[in-house]
Amino acid sequence: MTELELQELVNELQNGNEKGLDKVFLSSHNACKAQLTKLTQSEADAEDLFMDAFWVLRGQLLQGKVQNAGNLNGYLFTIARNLWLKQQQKEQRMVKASVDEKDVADFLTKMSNNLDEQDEFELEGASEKEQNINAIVKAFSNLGEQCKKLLEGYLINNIPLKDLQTMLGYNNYDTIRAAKYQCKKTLIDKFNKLQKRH
Amino acid sequence: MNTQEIYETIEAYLAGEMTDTEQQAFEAQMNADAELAKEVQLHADIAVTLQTQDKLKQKQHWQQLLSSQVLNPKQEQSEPTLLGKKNNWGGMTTYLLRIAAMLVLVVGAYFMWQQFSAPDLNKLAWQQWQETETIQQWSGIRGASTDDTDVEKASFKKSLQLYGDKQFEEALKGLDAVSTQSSMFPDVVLLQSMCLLQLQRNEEAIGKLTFLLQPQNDNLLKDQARWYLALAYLQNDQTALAHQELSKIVAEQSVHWDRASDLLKKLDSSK
Repeated sequence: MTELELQELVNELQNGNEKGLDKVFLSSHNACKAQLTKLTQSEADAEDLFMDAFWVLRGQLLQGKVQNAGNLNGYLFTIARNLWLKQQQKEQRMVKASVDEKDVADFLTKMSNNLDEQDEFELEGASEKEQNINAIVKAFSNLGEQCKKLLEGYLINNIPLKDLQTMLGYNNYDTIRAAKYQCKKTLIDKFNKLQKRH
Repeated sequence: MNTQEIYETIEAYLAGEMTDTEQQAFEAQMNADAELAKEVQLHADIAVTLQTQDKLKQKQHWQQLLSSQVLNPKQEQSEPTLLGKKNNWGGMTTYLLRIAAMLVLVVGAYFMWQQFSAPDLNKLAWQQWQETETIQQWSGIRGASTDDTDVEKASFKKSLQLYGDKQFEEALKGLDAVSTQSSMFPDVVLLQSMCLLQLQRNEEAIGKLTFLLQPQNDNLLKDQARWYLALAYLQNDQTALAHQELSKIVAEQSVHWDRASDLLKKLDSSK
């Protein structure tokens, strides 16, 4: 991929067009997965790791952080290897999340299966963790569109506020800083209200 | 430290952006303040939940991409072969191109006409309503409280189903079974107003939606209520009030603010 093609891919992604990235995904999948299978000794783990790494790459492309246009596969492999090493280490912080990716994935799968069957997910008997995840998902889905875009960029894709300011058209840094705070506060208020109901 | 600064400190801590000394000081603060530690954990939970939700969505998309490639491995190569048959299809291609060009002209003319003719506000409101009218908010996204009786929950669920089946009168009747004390009451009022709008009983719908928006009525449905209220006003030819609500949506950047902004432009151009 040339520098120009990379820039085009980033522009497309920032405008919500995933087609270019889908092509990159398909072209790098087999080669990277083969290398990662050697690292993880398991094809299923390699598939998971590749998807995780590709998700990180997508975030970095959105942030405009990727410079190495010539060797995206190599870059992707480096991300994957770092993720693999990180998984083996323990988190250093004293306070961390009470839920992990597995909890969230299990809950969301359970919820979507449940919705298929009966249109409405019942929370009776749900654990505290599940109730927390459910309230976060609900509270976020109830936010206004602009808040969703801002928090998606900041919390999900880890895009710095300075870059989001340009991407989302805020006048200055202080405005987006205040908007981010307001949106997060609204999210937490909605979360607390939902928790009070149960 | 104000709340905004507390949020920023928590975010810096979770992102690993603090120096060792700052981290130790902040952790000492959390040891002494259980509320702060709880707040930090909530911020961490939010990040993990939203990131995982997004990651799952992306993974699902990529998995589908891989499956479709397995099912259709030659799809990309097959296109040039089709184009290679250009000689056999030359006449037909020219014919199709002419039709396409005519269609472009007709569509272009239609849009020009739309630009320069005054918009039909009732039609516009109805179109917006159809595009955003959804009962998904109640399908698993919201839940009843444990205080609600089984009869109330069942009635509400049944009414949702009836609404989906376009039996609006019956849906309205079912909603009477839910008490005003129920935690589902705001949902009930919103669903009632949606039924009333479907039945073209705009005045009654406006009454319900206005009730939901009263400051003392604490609920999570205000954003949707304001949007539907603006549309109800438009359908009822109360453009000044519609303008007022749409402006609030844009100012607060709440649900459908982009649609509200477009509608405001159209309203202003029709004056």
